[in-house]
Amino acid sequence: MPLFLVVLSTVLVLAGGPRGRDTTGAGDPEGAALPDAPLPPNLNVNAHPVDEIIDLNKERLLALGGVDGVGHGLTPAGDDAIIVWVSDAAAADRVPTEIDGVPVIVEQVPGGFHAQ
Amino acid sequence: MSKAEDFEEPSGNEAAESEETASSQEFEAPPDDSAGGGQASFVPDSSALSGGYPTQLLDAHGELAAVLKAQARTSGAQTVALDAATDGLSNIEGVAIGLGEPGDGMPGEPTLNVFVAKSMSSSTARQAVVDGLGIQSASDVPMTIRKSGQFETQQFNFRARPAPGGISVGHVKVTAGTLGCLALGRSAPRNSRLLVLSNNHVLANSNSSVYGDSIIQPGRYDGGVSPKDRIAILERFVPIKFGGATNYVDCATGWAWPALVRREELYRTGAGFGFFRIGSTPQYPALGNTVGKSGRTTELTQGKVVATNWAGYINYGSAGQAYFAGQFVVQGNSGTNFSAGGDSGSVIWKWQSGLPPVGLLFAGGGGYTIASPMPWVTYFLDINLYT
Repeated sequence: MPLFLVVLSTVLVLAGGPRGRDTTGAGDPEGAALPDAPLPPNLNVNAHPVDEIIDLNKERLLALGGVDGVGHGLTPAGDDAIIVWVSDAAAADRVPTEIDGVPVIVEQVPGGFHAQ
Repeated sequence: MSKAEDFEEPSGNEAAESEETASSQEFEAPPDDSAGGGQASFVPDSSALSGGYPTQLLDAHGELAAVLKAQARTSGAQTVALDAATDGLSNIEGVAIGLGEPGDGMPGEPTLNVFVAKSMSSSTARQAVVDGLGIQSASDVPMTIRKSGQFETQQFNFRARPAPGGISVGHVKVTAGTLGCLALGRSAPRNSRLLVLSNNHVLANSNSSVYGDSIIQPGRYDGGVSPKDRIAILERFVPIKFGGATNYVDCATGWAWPALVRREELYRTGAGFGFFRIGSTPQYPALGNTVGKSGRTTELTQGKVVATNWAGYINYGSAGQAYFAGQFVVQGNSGTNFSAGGDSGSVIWKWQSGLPPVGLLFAGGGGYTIASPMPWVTYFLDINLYT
C-alpha cells in the first residue's frame, strides 16, 4: 500500500469510525451492506409453465422501447396470461398478442414504476 | 414471550423511554447512548384487533365492491326505479372496511364503510345496500356512512412511542417510508437484536449509508430529527444493484431500542387508532390472493395480487434504475390505489385468518404496487419476523 494511503487510513481511523456516522457509540466495526448473493433454487417458486415462458422471453420484451415490466397474471376470464406493462402507449403495438399460445395483456403504467 | 432470555438490549438506552414495556428487558440495545427520548405522544387504543376481519364483513364488502364496480362499467346507465331504496343506491360511491365511528359497532372493531355523495341516514343506506343491491350479508354488519367529500386523506406520519408497524420511518437523509414490522436475526449476535424491517431505500438511503446511521420516526419529511426521534440505527441492508444486474429484494434492517417499538401494526378506527397483529411465518403470494397492508401514506388498504414473477425496471430517482425479477404486483380493490409514495417498507399480508406476511412493498406506478416475496426478504436479511 502506498505510504499516503497508509497515512490517510490511519488518520481516518483516529478520526473515529465509519464515515458519515452521526452516532456516538463505541464504533461497532460491522458493515451494514450484505455481500451479493444469488437466489437459491429452492426459493424460486415461479415454476409454472407460464413463468418459464416469461423467463425465456422477458429480456426480449423488456428490450422493446417503452416496456417497463413483465409478469404472470390472469385474463378477465381467469386464464393464465402474460402481462406487459408499458410506459409508452405506442409500445403496445410492438408487443405480441400471444407467446407460445399464452395470451399477452398490455397494461399502461404512465411514467413507469418508481420506488415509493 | 418465549424468547425472553435470548435478546440483548442496546447499551445505554437510559434516555430511550420512561415507559416500561415487556420487550425492554429482552433485547440488547444498539451500541449508542443517545436513543431518542421524549414522552410518548401516542396513546395506544386498547381495542387491538387480534386477527383478520369477520367473514361476514368481508363478504358484505366484497359483494358491494363487485356491484359498484359493475355499475361503473356500465358508465352511468342507471335504469333502476327511483324508490326509496334505489335512490340511495345511486348515491353510493364506494365501500371500504376498517374505519368506524363511535356507535357504529363495538369500539375498535372494523365496520363496513359506505361512501355516499350526499348525506343519508344509516338506515336508508343499509336499505339501499341490502334491498336495492340485494346484498344480504350487509343486513347486520356494523356500518359507517361517510360523505365522500368529507373524507380527508390522513396519514400515519406522526411520532409514536412505542412505534408500531405501518408508521412513518426513515434513514435520517431519506424523506419518509414505512416501518414494516419487527424482526430478529437468525444467529448470534443478531438474534439478540430487535430489528425494524423496511426497504433499503427507506432505511439505508439506497446504499448511501453505513452501519450505525440514525433511523428516525417519523421520517425527515414528517418532521423527524436525529437524535431526538431516533428509534434505531442502520444494521444491515441488501445493496441495490443499479445498471442491469438482477435484484430480488429492496430491504434493510435497523437495530431498534426495544422500548421504542412495538410488534403490532397500526390502523385507524372511528375513535382514533387501533393495532392488529400479523403472522410471523412468511408465505409466498399467489395470483388472486386478497392482501392488505398498513402504510404511512395510504394507511390500511386492501388489494389483490394481479401478477407474480414480475420482472422489470424500477426508477430510484437520482440513484438510477434497477432491474428486479420475481416480484409480485398488487392492485387496490374498488378502484383505489393500494399504495402511494411513503408506503414503501409496508408489510403485505394475506387478508385471511392469521394475516400471514407475503411481501415487502417497495415501488409502484400506474395504480400498481410492486413488492418482494417475504420469504426472499427474510432469507437475504437472515431474519425471522417478530410479529
